[in-house]
Amino acid sequence: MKKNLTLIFMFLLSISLYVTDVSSSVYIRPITQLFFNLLLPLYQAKADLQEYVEEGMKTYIFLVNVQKNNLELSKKIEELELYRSMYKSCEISLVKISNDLGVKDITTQGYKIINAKIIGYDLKGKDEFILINKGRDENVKEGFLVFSNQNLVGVVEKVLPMSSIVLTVYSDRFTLSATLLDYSKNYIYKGGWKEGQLLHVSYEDDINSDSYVVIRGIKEKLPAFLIGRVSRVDDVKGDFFKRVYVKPSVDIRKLEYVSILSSKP
Amino acid sequence: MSFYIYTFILAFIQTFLLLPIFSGYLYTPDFVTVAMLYTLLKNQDTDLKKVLIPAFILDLLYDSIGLNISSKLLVFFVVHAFKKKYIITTKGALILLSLIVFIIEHMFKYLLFRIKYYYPFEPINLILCLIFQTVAMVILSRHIITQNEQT
Repeated sequence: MKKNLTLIFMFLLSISLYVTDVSSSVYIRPITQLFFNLLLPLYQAKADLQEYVEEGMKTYIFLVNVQKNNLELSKKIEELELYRSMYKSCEISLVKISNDLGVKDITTQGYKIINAKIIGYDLKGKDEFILINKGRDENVKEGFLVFSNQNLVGVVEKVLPMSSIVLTVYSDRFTLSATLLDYSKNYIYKGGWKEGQLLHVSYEDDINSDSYVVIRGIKEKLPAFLIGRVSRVDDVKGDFFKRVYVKPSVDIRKLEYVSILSSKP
Repeated sequence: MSFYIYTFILAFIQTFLLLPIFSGYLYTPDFVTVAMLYTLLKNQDTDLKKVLIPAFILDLLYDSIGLNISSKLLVFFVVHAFKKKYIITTKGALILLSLIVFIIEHMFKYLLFRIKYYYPFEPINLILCLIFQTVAMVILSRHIITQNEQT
């Protein structure tokens, strides 16, 4: 009975010790301080070892993730290699056909691609320009095309020593020669927020909504980067031309990296 | 004496190595409790010092004076109450008892901790912690069952 009472007393005492935080009270602090000073090297060693183990664990987890990513990337590379070989066979067939038809051989090779990270966006929120981290240091020149995947992002407008300003397809100042995938006539694409326009489209031109608008190089052949899709076609009374609105396919603020094609349109 | 050496080593491993791996000391597997429970079940009459000293060491290392002492004393009560009525003869009974004791101890610690501070309840970490402790208990106490079966 006495033993049980002692146990209960000790139990309640230990709870009150913890809850009241008695070790930090004015009367007991000198004793606990002395105790703490004695144990200080142990606490320091504990903190050091804990930090070491924690870092080791984090590094291990990081390396495991890197390994997984590497596996995924190697799979993707395999897929891309397959596409590359398919593309090569298509190219060979195309060259043969063009030779048979007497069409001048068009080569799209020889372009240099520079990858860049976006380091700034348009403050106004209209996505009229972006700032990228490649500039004169990487031989970027004004007028170079900037794209992401197959979508056109814009054109390099200003080259700075280590960065460049890219005028995007959403800018009012952006104009570029363009054509449609399902209607082979040349137009001028003029950028705009949130939609751009195809200029000088006559009433006879059969342009439908959802048609793909791509770029068209004048001096040299360029990859047909996608500018956007025709969102609506309006007739204006008393005007010579139709109004064709184009919704750009690139979402500027979702981009983190872009590619620069070292050629002017 | 060997019990104290083992529990000290376990307490050090627990606070130095396991604590950074698991999220907070509420969810770190408490192998000192496992060793204590093993001793309580093995011996007929256990000295209270074997509960208090390892608990005090743990409290010193965790810097939580009172938390481990009270929870270990609670384990002591529960096991004594159990031992008065039952004898463990099967592995299932041992696992069940260990689980009950560990859950009671963890919940008690968590509730006591929550009186002073906030920390989210993490059931997955708790289950993981309980699994580790129970497995350790089963491995440790294999011969307790055979000993009880013989008696």
